[in-house]
Amino acid sequence: MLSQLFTALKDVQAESLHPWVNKVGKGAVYVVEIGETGTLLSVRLRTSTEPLWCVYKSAENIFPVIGGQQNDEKQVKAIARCVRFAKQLTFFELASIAANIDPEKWYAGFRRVWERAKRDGILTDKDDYRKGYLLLSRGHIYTAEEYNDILQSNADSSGSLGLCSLTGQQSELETHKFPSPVLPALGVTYLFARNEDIPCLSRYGRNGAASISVGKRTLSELSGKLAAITQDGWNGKTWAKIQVNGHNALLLAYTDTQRVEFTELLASDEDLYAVVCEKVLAALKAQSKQGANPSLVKILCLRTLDQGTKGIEFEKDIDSTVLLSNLNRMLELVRQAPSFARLKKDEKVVPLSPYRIANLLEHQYRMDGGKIEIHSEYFETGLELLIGDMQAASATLLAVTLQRVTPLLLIPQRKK
Amino acid sequence: MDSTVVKLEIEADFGCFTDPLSGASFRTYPFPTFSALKQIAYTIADAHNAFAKPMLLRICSPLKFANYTFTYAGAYRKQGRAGFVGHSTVLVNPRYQVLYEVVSRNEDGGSPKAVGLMRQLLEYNITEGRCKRTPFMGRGEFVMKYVGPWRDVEPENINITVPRMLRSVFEERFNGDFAPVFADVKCEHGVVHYA
Repeated sequence: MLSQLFTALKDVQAESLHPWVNKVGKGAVYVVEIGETGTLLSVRLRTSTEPLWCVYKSAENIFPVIGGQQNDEKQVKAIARCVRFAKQLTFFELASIAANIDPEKWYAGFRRVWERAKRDGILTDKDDYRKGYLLLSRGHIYTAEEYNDILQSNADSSGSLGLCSLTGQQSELETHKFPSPVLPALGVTYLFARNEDIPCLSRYGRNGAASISVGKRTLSELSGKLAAITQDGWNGKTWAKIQVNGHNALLLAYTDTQRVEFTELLASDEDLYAVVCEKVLAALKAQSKQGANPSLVKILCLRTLDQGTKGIEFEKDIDSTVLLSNLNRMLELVRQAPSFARLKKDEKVVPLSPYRIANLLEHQYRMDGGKIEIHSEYFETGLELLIGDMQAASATLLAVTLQRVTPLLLIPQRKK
Repeated sequence: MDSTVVKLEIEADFGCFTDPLSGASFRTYPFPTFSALKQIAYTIADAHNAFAKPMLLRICSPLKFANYTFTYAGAYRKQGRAGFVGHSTVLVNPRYQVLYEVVSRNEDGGSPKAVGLMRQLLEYNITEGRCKRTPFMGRGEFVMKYVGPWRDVEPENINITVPRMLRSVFEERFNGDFAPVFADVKCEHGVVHYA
């Protein structure tokens, strides 16, 4: 996955980001305000638009986030662990002393603040910090840039020098854990996963970071590019969440010239697909009118393989001028396609997007209105309708479609 | 034709030439690495003082990938677990024509006799369908469908550059140390030249 990401994101312009700087997950996050002396001041629920970042060194070393726990004892341990890690960052050191000395006392204080917030109406009875996360804050919530600056300035440069496998240049190599950014749809994603506890994964007797040589700087740059391309504001433009055969997947589409809604075009599940096509078409036309050079649109689909492993589902690229002509053709087809009534519902079905077609082909349809889930991977073929050999893709999809709807065409046997 | 050159065609149902940077989600390169081709020739015939060095590869089947899941229940699984389920992306129906040059292992060129003997042995085994060990397409379970002389087929029109592709894992000589070498490899019109 590392090499594909490195190649696909080569032209992305972004600041490098320390591999430990990560987005806070999407669960319920409560922001706990702490005073300079470690006293607890307030607690509130994060707002939906608030971008939250944390330092994620490993599953047990996260700062300043404390994961929700099922019992009080574990919560106290988590606080102590978090505070120990916080001591490495001087800006939080003073505030952490009280919690470090006596985490139980700190936790009791937290519960008092929690109850007070409930009484004041800041939190409701539905709120439960054990089902979410606590994010400690002193003065303000630190941004990714601030964490990055702190970590980069404290960076340990005593690592071994060697030839980076990705860049081919002599640089300081990563000898510890590789970055594991939190990506949309996929969650925590190990860019290079090789569990040291599974000997069969070893390569020539080497495991973990020792099995390959990648420069720290390369990894920081890659983390920064991934964070930039998957930022919340670019949802639908450079990234989109999709489902591939029941698995969560992340679709990335990038071009170095302009932020066009490429992923919306490729992964749209909307009934009004023509509108999406028109929007992208207009953007591409405007781009060519401005005299911009044709650029390469790089498409990458990352998928959850199992709980801990993510992999590349497919990677493609297409020239923007070719996409423009393909899109014209697609729009024409979409406009010409007949609308028809949806089964059991008195509503008209409008032309389908490649993503919707792939989703529909994941089932076989029965006369009684039911459907059977079938293992199928036709999203890539569906995309070919738009970015590849349309005739070959149509031939494949037509055969599969017939197979999926055959039970609908057969006359049901009479019951004896 | 140069007397040290040997031609070999290989075909299998699946192939996997894993990119070491893909980690636990094994992903194959689009075509074999230099060291994988060297190993394939080595399974057909080997000698102590000469080896077949891949010079050129013709990709004779379209590039197709598939998801392949396997279960490993051997001794090297995670302790306390019944088995390990691995995921990989593999090549489907790979077919290649390879041009080898038989060279000496000695740095000073070695004996031309050793090179000649090795070439004869390799050519004889290829023609007769013999091999020393079972050749496989990158992974032990992907045994070959065909190993033999070149058949009449043209390479596919594939143009692709693989940046930082693994060339070799160990040093060139016998019992070499672990020293992976990566290089940009270009495939033009279905033909790859290994420098």
